[in-house]
Amino acid sequence: MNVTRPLSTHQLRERLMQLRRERGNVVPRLDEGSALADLPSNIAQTLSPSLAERLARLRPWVGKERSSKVDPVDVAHFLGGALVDVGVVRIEHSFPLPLQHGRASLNDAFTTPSALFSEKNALPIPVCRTAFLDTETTGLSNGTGTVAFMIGFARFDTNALHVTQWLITSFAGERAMLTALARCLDDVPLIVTFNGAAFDLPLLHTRFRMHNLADPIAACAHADLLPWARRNRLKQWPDARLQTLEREGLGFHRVDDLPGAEVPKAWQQWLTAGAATPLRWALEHNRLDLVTLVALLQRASHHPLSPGRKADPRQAWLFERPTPWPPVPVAAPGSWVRNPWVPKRSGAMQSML
Amino acid sequence: MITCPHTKAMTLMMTTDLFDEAAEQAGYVDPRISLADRRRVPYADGDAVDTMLAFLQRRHRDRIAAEIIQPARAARFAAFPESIHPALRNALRTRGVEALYSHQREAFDAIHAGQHTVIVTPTASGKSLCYNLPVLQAALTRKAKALYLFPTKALAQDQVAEILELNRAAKLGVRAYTFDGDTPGDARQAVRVHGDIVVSNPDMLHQGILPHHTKWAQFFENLAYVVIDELHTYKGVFGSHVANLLRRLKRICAFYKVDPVFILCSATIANPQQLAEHLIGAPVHAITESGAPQGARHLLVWNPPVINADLDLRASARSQSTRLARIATTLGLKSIVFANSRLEVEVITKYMKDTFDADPRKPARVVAYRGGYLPTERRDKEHKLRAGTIDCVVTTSALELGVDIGALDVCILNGYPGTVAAAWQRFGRAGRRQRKAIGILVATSELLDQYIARHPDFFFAASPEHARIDPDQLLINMDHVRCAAFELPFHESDHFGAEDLPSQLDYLAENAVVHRDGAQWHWIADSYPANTVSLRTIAEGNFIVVDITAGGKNIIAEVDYSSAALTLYEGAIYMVQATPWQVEKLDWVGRKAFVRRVDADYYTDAIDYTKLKVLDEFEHAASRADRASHGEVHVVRRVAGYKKIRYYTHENIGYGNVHLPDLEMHTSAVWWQIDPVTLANSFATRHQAIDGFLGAAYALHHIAALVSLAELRDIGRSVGDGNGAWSAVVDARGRGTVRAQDGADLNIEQASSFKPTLFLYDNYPGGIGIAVPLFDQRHTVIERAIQVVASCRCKEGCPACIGPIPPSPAPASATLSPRAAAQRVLGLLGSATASTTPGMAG
Ligand SMILES: [Zn+2]
Repeated sequence: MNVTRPLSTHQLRERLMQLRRERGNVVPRLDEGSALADLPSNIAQTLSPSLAERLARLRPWVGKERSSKVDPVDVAHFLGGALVDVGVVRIEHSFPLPLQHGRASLNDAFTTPSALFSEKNALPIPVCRTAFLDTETTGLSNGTGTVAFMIGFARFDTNALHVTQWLITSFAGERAMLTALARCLDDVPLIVTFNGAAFDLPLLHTRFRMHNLADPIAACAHADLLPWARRNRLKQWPDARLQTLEREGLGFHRVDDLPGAEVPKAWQQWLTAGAATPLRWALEHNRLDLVTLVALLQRASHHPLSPGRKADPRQAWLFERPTPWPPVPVAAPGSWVRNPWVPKRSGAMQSML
Repeated sequence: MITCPHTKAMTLMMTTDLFDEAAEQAGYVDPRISLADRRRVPYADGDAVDTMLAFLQRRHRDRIAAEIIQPARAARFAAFPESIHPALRNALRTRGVEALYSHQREAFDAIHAGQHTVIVTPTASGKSLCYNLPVLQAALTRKAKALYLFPTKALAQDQVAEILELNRAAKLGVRAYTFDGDTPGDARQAVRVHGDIVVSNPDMLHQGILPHHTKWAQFFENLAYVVIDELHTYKGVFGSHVANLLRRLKRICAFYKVDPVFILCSATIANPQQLAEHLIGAPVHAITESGAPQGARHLLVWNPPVINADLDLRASARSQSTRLARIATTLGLKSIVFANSRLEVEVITKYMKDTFDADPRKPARVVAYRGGYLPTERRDKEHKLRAGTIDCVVTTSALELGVDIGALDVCILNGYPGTVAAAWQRFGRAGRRQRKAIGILVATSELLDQYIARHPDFFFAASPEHARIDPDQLLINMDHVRCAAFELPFHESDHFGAEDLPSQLDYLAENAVVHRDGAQWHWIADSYPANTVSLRTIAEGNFIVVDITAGGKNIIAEVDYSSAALTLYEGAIYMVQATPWQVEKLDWVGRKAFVRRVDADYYTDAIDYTKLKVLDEFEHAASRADRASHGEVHVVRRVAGYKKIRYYTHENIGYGNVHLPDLEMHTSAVWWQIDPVTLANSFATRHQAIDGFLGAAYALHHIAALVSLAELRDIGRSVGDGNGAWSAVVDARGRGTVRAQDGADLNIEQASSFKPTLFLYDNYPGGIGIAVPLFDQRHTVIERAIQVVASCRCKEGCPACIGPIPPSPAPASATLSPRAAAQRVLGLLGSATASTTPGMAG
């Protein structure tokens, strides 16, 4: 049995060995005893400039050389979008209404300004002025080291749902992506998310702060559907996650979807190996999440806020009573709906390098 | 069978004479001594401190190895600065502060002028005003914010209480909050946004604040001061981590375009300014003259009497310390006893309680205070100490730091604490502004203690230790490069210590931790690096002690990882406030020990041993007879079993086995070997040689700590073959036993080869730079060790030279005594010439 300390010292050892190996020195094996006379006396010396030089020779794609190899316009095209700034690709999709999503149907009636309220002024907010937001990130931890490399943004007009996605292909694009998002939020009084209160919005707040930009979200009301989902899921469903609600509640079954846990890896693979195909999968995943978010809001907003209810001023409280879910049809397979615009995930991964 | 030690002592009382030293030395502490003392020492109407001194000098002149008097010091005052905010001056007046001590004024002026400042002051010299004054002034006049860092949560809470009192005194409206692991989630936002003074600790800054700095944006944008109290604790591995942590803090500050002034406070060490400058990486102004008044202090070095001249065996320090504390308590003096281990604390507490807290209906007069108590229990103790209802507190180093425990008259050090600085700091705990105080260092039979008892000038004249840190220790530095990369991207032109940062980052990039994008490196891993980096040497995860007596599940204590293996093995007697529990089950992975209340008349002491394997020799120096080297080693430490030791008699009444995972580390060491032929010619048997190596290791270890100004526990010692195939330990008879790799006894006489190696190793993973200077000073170390062993008055060996050797049944002349064997080994090691052959080509 290993305990914390042995593990960590072992790791340290490994790391030292690694550093040595890179310098081209003899690597001592544990059973070689003291016969290694030609090793450096100062461990620190093992990180001499020669390491950097050697690494530079070994990995020619590091830094600027890499970006010069791939035409960013090609990358954008491959991802189905356009290069809108250095390192930022924008992908646009419009879904004409009515839109069928599993058993849920999003129609034009949904865009009428009847259901949504902001706590700030208690006036109805038309759905067409509401933004749906979902980010894909480099990790799940809080803190300044986690970056949203993709932001999905959806909004209605009278006859379609418009989905805009920004994807950064290098860190250099983050600032431009955030600025673009801020512009889109200009006339948006309400943002709808799933778990945004705990994750997406604080993360975006951090990203805006890191770039010394004002956070446009601070001015918006926010409706997080996760608490509603927790209250309204049926007991037999395993949890209240977005995809569970989508499957059990809306009857929409994803095929070949990139699992959420693998999304950070998609970005890493792009960065380290230039693999662009996983980014396409991630875009698709993000788009599906957004459409499901919209469909869930439709369910939730059947029950407007009762008057006099006190709530967190930043949180638009929309939902009071449990909403009945549509009954599950007996013939399950027939109810499986796979939208034609969902591409297949299988197929060779394409590297842009 | 369970015996009540009290009954035993009472029985003894009937059969021995009053003040029978022999009985006392054998470990029986006669409860009547305090009664006798009371009878013989009349209560002084005037100063009980003088009475106690007079009594000790009259009765025990022979035990006082040295005495010095630190004269009283008058106060030196300075006026309030002109610029001081009226509300602040008002608040101080309300609290009775009419003028500043000179050092407080000097600090204010330096800090106000924007200088990083370190203030070195004794205990109770009004040190916190040195930083509170400029910080409050800046908060009142320009809405400046301050971050206070204390090494422990307890000290942080004390500090906030003090600021709040000052605040309340004049309604300053300055908001001070603690921010630590105990701060509830819903209060954190308020602290971040509204805190003018945020009081925290390095661990929290490391894991909770810096990786979330954007949430603290408002705070950082106005951050003007960073206060680091108890600077002297930031040494070794911890200090090296904190230096890197402050590099991270400074990066964040630069991001928010602030450049805070650092204010540091330290107890007396040799190099406060240097340490402060190392720690914050910038020049620091040092203030070392205190203007606070101080009563005179009488310092004694107390050597317990010899109770067996043949064996040069002295009475135990513990019995003497207990006795001195009894005298103080009986005279109505408030005393503090410092012991060097938790076990000693519990044993001394028990002896004291047997005398003074025999009646359970009365409030306790004696209390133990050490690490590992739950916060509520700890706060309760501190409160009682401040309130003055406690007469005697027995403690470990836990009270060395500035926890406010009120004024005390007598300070007893049960054994040399290992460093000069710690000894002075402990002495500093006793002493009032206007009254005389007594400090007594009771020497144990250990080498360093006896060295001090014989050369007291060395101790009194010695400079306190240098606190050393190595912020560029590669592994520590790398840990923080990772954490820093998470917090903010690194730019090509950035620096983070002496290493070549781009190489380090490229190394991380190769492991897909960061990614280079143009001139910057960005964090890309899906992880939170601060959670995998511990600032302390101990591994993460304290153990909790769960009382399952009567089916309950009470948590009675917390034990840190590094001491768990030595105190919580199954069968161990674990004591809290002198009450024994027995460990029934240890859940190592779950970090829990389940204990049951028992009435034991014994305590337990772990037997541990260490084996080393040389990984890499960096440099060596050889003569025909011997070879000294330094390099990298792999260390495995194992707790093999434990001894049961009876109270009062200290007889060994049994053993138990322990099955725990080994503790492993990789560090640097100095080692010595003797040419096999020379060795064979010098010793009749291999066992004698082993005895010699073990005795020499003991002496060298102690002298090495002294020479390299390190603590004994900073250095480890071991005797083995250098490949981890076997290692030798001293057994209960004081003779060497050789164990094979699996822990089984090994017959070394039959072994095919025999190349014993004596190791002194840096006792921290990765090493903190002890080995190289030690290698360079090896001649001094060996010379002094030879002197110590040669000049000792014992026959076979004792703790003052080569380690304790119980009297052997065989006449000493029949075999080679361990001491003679050690002398022979040291002689061979000392014969080496200075012919250094650098191991590294070029
Ligand atoms: Zn001796």
